[in-house]
Amino acid sequence: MKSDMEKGVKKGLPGGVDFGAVLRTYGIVIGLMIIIVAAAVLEPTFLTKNNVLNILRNMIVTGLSALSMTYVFMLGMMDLSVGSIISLSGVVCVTLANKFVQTDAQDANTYPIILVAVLLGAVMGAVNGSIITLIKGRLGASFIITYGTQIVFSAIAMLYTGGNFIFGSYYKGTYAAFGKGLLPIWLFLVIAAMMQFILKSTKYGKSISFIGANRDCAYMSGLNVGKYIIITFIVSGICSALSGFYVTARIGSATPIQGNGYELNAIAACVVGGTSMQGGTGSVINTVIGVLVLTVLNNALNVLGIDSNSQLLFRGVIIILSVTLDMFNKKYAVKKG
Amino acid sequence: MTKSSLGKVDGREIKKFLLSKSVLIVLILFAAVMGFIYPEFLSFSNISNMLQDISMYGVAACGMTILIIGGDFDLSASSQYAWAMILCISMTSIVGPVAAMLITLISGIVLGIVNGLLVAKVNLNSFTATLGTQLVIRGLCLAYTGGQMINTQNETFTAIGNYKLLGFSSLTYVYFITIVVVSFVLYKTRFGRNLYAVGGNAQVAKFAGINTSLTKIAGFACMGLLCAIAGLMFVAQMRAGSVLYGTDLTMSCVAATVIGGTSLSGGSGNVVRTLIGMILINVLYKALIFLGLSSYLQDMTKGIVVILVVVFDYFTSSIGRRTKSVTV
Amino acid sequence: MEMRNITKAFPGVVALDNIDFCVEAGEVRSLCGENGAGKSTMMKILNGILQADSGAIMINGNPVKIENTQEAQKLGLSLIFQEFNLISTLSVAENIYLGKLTGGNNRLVNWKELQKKSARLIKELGCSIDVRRKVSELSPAEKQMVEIAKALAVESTIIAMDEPTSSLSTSEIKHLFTIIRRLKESGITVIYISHKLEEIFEICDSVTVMRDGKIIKTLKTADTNENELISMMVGRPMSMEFPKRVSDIGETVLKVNNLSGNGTVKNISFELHKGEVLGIAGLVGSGRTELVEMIFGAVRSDSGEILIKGKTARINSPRDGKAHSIGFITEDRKETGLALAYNIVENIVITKLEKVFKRGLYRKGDANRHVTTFIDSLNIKTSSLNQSLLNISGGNQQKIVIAKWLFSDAEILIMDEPTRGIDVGAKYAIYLLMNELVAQGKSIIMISSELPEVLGMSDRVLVINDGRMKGELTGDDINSEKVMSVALMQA
Repeated sequence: MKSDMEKGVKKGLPGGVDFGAVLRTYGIVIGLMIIIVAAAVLEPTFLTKNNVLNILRNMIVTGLSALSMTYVFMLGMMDLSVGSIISLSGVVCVTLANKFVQTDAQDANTYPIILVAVLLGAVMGAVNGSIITLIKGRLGASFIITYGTQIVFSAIAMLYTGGNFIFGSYYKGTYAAFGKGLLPIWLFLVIAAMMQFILKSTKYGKSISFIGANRDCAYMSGLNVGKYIIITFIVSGICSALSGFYVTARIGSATPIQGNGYELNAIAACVVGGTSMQGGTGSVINTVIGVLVLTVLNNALNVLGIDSNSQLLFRGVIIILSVTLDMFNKKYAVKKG
Repeated sequence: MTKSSLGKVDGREIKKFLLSKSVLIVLILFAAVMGFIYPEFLSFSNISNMLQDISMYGVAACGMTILIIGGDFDLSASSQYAWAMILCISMTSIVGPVAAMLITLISGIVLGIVNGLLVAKVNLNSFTATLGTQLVIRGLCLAYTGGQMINTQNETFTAIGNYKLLGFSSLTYVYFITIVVVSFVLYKTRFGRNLYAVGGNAQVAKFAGINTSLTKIAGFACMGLLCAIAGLMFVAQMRAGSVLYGTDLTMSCVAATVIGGTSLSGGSGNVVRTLIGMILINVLYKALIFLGLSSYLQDMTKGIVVILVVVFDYFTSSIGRRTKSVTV
Repeated sequence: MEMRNITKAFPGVVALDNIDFCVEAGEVRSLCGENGAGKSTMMKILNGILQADSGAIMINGNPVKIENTQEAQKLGLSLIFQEFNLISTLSVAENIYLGKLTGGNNRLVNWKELQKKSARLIKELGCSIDVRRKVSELSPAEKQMVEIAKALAVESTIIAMDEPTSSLSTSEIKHLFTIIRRLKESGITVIYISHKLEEIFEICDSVTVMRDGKIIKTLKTADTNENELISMMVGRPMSMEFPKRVSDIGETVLKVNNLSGNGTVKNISFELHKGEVLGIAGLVGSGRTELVEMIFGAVRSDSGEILIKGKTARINSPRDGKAHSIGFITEDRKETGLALAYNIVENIVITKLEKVFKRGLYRKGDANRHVTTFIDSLNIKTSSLNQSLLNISGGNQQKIVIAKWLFSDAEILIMDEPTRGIDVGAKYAIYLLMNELVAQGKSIIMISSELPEVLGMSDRVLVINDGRMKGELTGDDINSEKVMSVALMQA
């Protein structure tokens, strides 16, 4: 038997003005500042224009899938297939580009390719969402199902490329433009802003928050839970597919395993940012900050010359610290309210 | 088989019994079909090889089952496995094989306790806590080995690894002994029953005076120990260690547990079920190899099977769920 | 046992104000009062879940300190919660001896002995539950028995029961009373917390009334009556009557033909009219909830049809039910009726979000306006629109659930145990609300296990037992004897 207070603590505070989250966000921002200052002091090249641009670009890959993972978390679920969708979408895009974007005249073909990526991601997301809806699944089911689809999608990527690396033979023009300069960064910020808005002010956003807060109540109140699950996973698929496209735009090639591990990054970003895995509480802004923290940290460690192995250590510690902070924060918040 | 309170065994009870054993039935059917098509599939050497193959992951899966019964997950299993290998091999050249094994086992328990403290005392969700520790331990491994594989020539390990009794490898025996011991602990000891209680409803367990924190920590410690044992088994067989091995350990353990029929929500299940789950998965792989599928297709099938099992489980167990009103 | 000068305060509210309370061995004492009167706080202190700020507890003249549930148990104090304190995945035997599976001479669990001991306890209670069964398979009444067995297993001398009969049928309640009498005979004290006054007068020797954290009075039940108790509880004279209503019953709005399914509903047909309160009485487990869930769409039916305003309706999910202007106030508002972590606005608008969205955007002002209207018309007590529902009383929570369905413009309201866990004053408010709703032309189907409620509020009563409709009562036929006899008829 759970007391009401316990249930409340688990679900967090109401979706309106979340004082605890605001406090938390500032805490994270402060942490971020500390990392930036420390790195800048220790290594002057950290704050050069190049490096900063690098950081912002790195942010996008994890960032896009972290954005959609926020939605998945709000629902109270998880999507482990994100990385495999990034890989599959990447290899398909480059393969198509090698066929259809070979000359300057064909440059505009880049756009249909992006569309194909979107469709691909949507289909894969729909598969995820449909199976989970079919078995009326919740967190645990989403975990296992997306684990299964992750394996399947990865295998498809492998089969598609024969396990090989695909080199993009035409790396200029519109395709490459998506990987260079400030354009992708602006696009990402726009998408992030849109997704935050959708989450807080649209019917879709309010519905998925409610489903995460109390799934049974949402169902009994007449919400079409299945529809929202499928849509959310489709969104996750699309974001991951776009992320995959972006990676290929940036480096001009694709491998069937390039997305491996990105689901963990996305999850970590949401967790560090303060979106609860239990569902019903969270925001895109928080996730973006989480992504920023992780990316900056990664870059700082690189720049400081710390080897990639020790970096994993750091990341792990950061995740644990931030979630601990979150727990203490919730305890504090409950005492207040 | 339980009887209805009237003391009669009715048709509904039989149906429930069969469904609870459905995974076993599927396994038997499948093995029978394969054995019919390829007689050597059911040969003694094939079976003993299979048992040897699954024994390492199997031991770790026992640990995962323990945790899942108690309502937790351990996503750091893979890295703990790799860590055990690496620690053991490194220590062997310093203090010799026996001491190295001991140290590895202790380190496994320690890692487990750390996980347990994070979950029980700091009150982190076991997903997130072990997600963090997985990265930390993996980082430790990489920092230590620089990503390289390390190995040992120590004879003790060769001896253990090659030892066979009655045609079964020593590793198989370790696995089976583990199953027996863990089953005993789960069924007969206070700790085991406390795990079921805590996994079933932690609040109620607390009111009944069960120390939920201690139980959870002990559960994680067991998992740590078993992962360490699994790592040692690997060293005994391969005499090498690296982070590249066992990356799919975590999910394989979870999959075996789920396929075996232990509920993810905790409070029920046992390691024998997980054993059946592991065997079923392995038999499927072997079948795929026998059928000549490429390794990528094998992977794909593996993924599809995981999904099918979960779906199947939903539809079969929903018969027992029929009386529950809110179905979503 | 005696509690002296017990005071307990929480931030912002004094839950117990200098309480003096004592009971004797073998006494059956009722503790009653409105929600928030302090009953559960008192019991929690007695059980070690909470600690008093000041005061003393004495057992048999000796002062005791109760720091946690274990110590309470050792002293012979047991508390049976309203929502059972059992682990559904475990067996009956394990639950009875939860936490005590080993100990003394046993380091390991001795299953045979465990089952023998628990079977004996169950038998003493006059039940025939197989102790190896999982608790999840038991009915609420059986779970109740397990809880009592639990208390007996630790040789409790004082057993407190919080709303023990809220999920029980009449015959099961009779059985419970037999057991309470037996406990009394063996010298065990029973503290009976309940809102059901007729039960208090039937089984309890004495009654203590609380109000606003103070003990008002302790009386022998023989020396008082219902009305007096109610006045003491609410602080004003009031009679437990149901608000009068002039029924204006119109045409048929819902017709159910031969509905069957789920193994629990067998060929039920009935009609519901506009402006009517249709009560559904029956023993617990009779399939009443499944029946209405089928009408609403939460559960699939196997055969039969539903007609709304004369037209066949395909209702396969709660969405469909909602689309046909049906609203469902569920049995368990905390689990399926409300998202407790969210505030009142979010909980109410969820049933028809379109109303507060213009061109895809959320209109906070509109939403607040709608909700404020409900707060006024339904008299919902809440300190602000942003307040989380956790801090709102049961009665007000229930009103919010009703408001939610009014927001979706439901014409047919299905209420499953609408006043469960709600104190007398709030109950009356809900009854008034129901009257108002049918006066506006809505129709209500009310399932209730509180017979007086069914009898007092319904225009017609359907009696259902074992999934079948046993009979329909109108007018003067609506009385408890008729309902029971119709229910138990072997037709």
